[in-house]
Amino acid sequence: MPFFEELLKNKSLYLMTLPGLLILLLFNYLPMAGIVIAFKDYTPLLGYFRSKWVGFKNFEFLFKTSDALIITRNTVLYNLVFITIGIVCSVGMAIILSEINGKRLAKVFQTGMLLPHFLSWVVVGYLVYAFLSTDTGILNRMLKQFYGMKAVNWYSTIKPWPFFLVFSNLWKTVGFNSIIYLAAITGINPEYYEAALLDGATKWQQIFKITIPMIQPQITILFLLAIGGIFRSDFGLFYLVPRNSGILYPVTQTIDTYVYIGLTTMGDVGMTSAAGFYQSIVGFIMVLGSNLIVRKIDREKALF
Amino acid sequence: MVKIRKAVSLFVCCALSMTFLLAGCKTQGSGKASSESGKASSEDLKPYNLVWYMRTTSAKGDARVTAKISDYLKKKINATITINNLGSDYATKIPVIISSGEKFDVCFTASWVADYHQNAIKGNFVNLTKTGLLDKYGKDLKKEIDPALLTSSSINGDIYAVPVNKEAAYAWAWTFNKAYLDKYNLDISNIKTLADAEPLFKIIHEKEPDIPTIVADKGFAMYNYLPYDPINGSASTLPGVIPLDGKSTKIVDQYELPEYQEYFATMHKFYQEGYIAKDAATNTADPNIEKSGKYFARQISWTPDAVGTPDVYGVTREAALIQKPAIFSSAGTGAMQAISNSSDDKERAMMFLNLLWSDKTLVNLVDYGEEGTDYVKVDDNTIDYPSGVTGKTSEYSNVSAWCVGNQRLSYVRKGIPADHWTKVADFNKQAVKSPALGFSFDNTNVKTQIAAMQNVLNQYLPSLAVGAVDPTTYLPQMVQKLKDNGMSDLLKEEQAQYDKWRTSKK
Amino acid sequence: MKNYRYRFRNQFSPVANAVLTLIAGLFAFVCVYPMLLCIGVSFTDEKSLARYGYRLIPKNFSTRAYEYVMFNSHQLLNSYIVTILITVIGTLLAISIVAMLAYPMSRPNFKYRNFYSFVVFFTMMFSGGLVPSYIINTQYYHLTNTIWAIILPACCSAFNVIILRTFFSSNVPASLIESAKIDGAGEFYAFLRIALPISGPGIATIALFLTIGYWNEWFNALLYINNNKLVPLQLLLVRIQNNLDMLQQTANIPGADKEAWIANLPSDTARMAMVLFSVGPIILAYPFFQRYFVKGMTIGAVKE
Repeated sequence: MPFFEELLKNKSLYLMTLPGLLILLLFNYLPMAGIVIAFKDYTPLLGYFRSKWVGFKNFEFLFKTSDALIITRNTVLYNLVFITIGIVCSVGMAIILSEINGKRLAKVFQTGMLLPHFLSWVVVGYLVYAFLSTDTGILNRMLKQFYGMKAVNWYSTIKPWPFFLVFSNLWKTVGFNSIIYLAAITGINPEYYEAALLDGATKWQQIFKITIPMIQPQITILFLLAIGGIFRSDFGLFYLVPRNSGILYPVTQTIDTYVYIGLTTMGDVGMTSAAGFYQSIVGFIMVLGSNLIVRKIDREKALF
Repeated sequence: MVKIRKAVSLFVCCALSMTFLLAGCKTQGSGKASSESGKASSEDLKPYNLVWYMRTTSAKGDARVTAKISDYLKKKINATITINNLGSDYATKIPVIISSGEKFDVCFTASWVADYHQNAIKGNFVNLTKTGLLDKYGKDLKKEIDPALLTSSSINGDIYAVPVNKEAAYAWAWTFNKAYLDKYNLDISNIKTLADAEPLFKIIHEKEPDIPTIVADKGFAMYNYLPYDPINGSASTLPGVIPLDGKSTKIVDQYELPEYQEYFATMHKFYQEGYIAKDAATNTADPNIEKSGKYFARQISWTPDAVGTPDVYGVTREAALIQKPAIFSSAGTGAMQAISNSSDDKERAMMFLNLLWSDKTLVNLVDYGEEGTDYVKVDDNTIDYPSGVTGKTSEYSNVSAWCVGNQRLSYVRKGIPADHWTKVADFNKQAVKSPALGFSFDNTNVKTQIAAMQNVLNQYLPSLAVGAVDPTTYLPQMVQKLKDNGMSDLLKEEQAQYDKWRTSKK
Repeated sequence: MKNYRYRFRNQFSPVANAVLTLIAGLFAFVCVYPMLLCIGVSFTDEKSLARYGYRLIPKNFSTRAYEYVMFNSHQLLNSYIVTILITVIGTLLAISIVAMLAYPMSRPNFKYRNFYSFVVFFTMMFSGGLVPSYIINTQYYHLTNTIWAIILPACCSAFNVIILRTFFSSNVPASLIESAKIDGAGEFYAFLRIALPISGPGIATIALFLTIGYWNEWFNALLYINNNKLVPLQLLLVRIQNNLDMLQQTANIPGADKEAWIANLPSDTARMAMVLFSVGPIILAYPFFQRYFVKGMTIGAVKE
């Protein structure tokens, strides 16, 4: 059989993959059976098998709300912005750091940029509050001092929040995400650059004609993976930073915050599972679609 | 692509079928255990280890005190005990532990953690009434507990967890910082409603503009002073209340009642006058305000001795009740102990609970530790730390008596008035009993609507409650949104269950 | 006459260099400033926080927050040791497993690599959820109260596998491996002696992610660790913070024991102090891995 022939031919390669596959089986695939909880009225006494099947009932609360459109719109739009601007900024920052003259300075900057990753959203929420608080916040104090403006209740003003949130997300993730691109850049063969220099290319031309194309595999993969999370959101960012201010809901409420708020009082395992499944299946279909498109363009760059 | 799909589906099928096999075996296993009835006579009890999940944080002296408790229990019911103090992890961990069917005997539960109603309805907690456990092994327990507490914690007439014996009634009140009352010679004896306090607020805000006149934050819920019983539980803000005076049996949406509208309007006025912090709607309770002692008025759900003496920060407050004391339908569900359906010896667990409510030695062992090491007696019922030990250095000072068993039997620490319990008993007796006492709502049929409405309430209520927004526009908006998200379904369901309960009670 | 010397060194013009350095520096500053603010707040007297707000230089210096956290010092030291153990063991184990899974997936001669990619990626999208994982980890694998409950579930993360696979396919040319095989090398030997050494940046990236991930891990510890001796650092800090909050909220419950020492508990300052306890050591990890992000690591390989 061709299957076993292939196995024998590359026997050591297949053997190498065994530990990884085993871990995936034990800790990812076996628990995956629990997805059925999303379709059942689960009680621990009856377990997966005998709990009552309820079809799509656990999914209703995701759609039967007057806010269903808003939470979906917010989640998707923010994600699209995060993904595109995020990639541009991360790649840009990686290039800058790898190209500026002061190498030691660049290393210091890199370490500094990593710091936001370590601050939890809880702490960031406090820091943002120190900045935006109506009575004692830094922003209001500055506005009063330099512009003579009255104190603004930022947690009740909707307009600036999309910017606040996008900026917060960028601030927290660019440093960390640029590491992957940095590593990719260091892997580029310097001979390409030497050859380009001999041909009279400027630095900028080198960046756009060599660097960026050479790290394209990483960019594509990270883009595809990010698409998979299109219906998910960073709970800490959307719940803790705006301090769950009700007035801001139209621009800060996402599927995840909706699920959290809706279910904390009820603690329904089935509904929580349904929400997760809903987010997963949409993301999955999106990735399948995007992957197909990427395959058509360049088969090697695709995820699978 | 087809080849990949085939291979993948084969792979996933294998994995899934393996799991179903395993899961099937496991559930059958636990099924067997719970069907055993374990008839043990009180004479020849086999040794058994109880597993108890508690909300207290762990302390250095835990192992020592637990050993002493085990010794004591061995003598009484031939059982030893393992106490798992989950501390702040409790709220996250206990739902997972329960949902996974893990074996344990007793756990702390309430309306606000390890959701009592949900777990009872799902069958995770043992029905103490139907299984006869309460009557057979809980005789002493039943004698001790205030009947109103037992009634309020029953679901369809059955008890699924034993409520801690403590205050049953309470009354919402304004509390005022005595220091400022004295400074400006203010009299609070005439304050009977929310708005009566306004003249005082005006004076304080004028004379002391830098301190918060009214301390308000996300949790500000003074609207609870209105004479209605929310039948969804004390912490619930879901629509559905019934008047305490029992004059009507119709469950209504509180947010459309004129009294509530008046409340929101009054609070809005207070907010505009500057009595309330501008960010109140999004702030969580700030301990620094309490610590500084620089504030004037706060809310409280008052019980005897709640205020009147200096608190930990040295601040004394005086209360002005604006509500007639009442026992709400959620009274008993503030703190309870339940027996898990995964327990291997439910009788023993019940015997343990019986002791926890009736045996003075056991109660104080659990609450305060070993006499001599952890505490010394000052007089018959009062205790204090042994010399040289303070609350900070004590090896066992973490158990809150209000979480465990029978508070009437536990000693009181120095500083609490000696007649405290008589006051509480009288208070309970005089209080109005809600007509809904003993009713509990099963939300199975309206979960979708509740999830949606919870979001609406989260969006509008905090701002309305502290008066941060204009209720003439916002309140109708909220009500409309609630209606759009299934409020009428919820009210209909509540009314149907309530009527059924009422007629069955007779 | 304009000085074009920088061109021969293949660098930016001084103007461009200055602008880019400024951009990177500004962003790095914005990333570091909140951390400095945390430090400042952690050394402040709690009472003056309410009056003066968050300030970089404390109005009233105080080390009470640190004293409070050190009060749990015997546990703190223990938790540091546990976390270091978990991080080191976990990272080493995970790198081996991830690399052994990712490498074959990057080889063109590996027939089922798209199948593998799909299987790996699928675990990123779908998950059974919290309860099924908990059931399987406690009742079947018996991982309760062991550090393996923290290490194993994370040691083959799909994200790491896919990223490393992309690095391998970009940096390790098939021709190189082919020539090695012609010389008689086996696949595993080629992997170990040829592919790995030139994949420095990729491996370093994954190792850094793993180190940071294991260091920050607290949720699995919360679920599976009851034994106080095995509590890792982040969980300990989360517990200290939650206990602090709980203590302060219940301080004035009627009937609660009124302890005078509660009046002096730090709150926000302790929160900031704990940030430093947790971030301090790990921030050294990045400089450690930085030396692998050096250009030209792959020179020697291609010239062969």
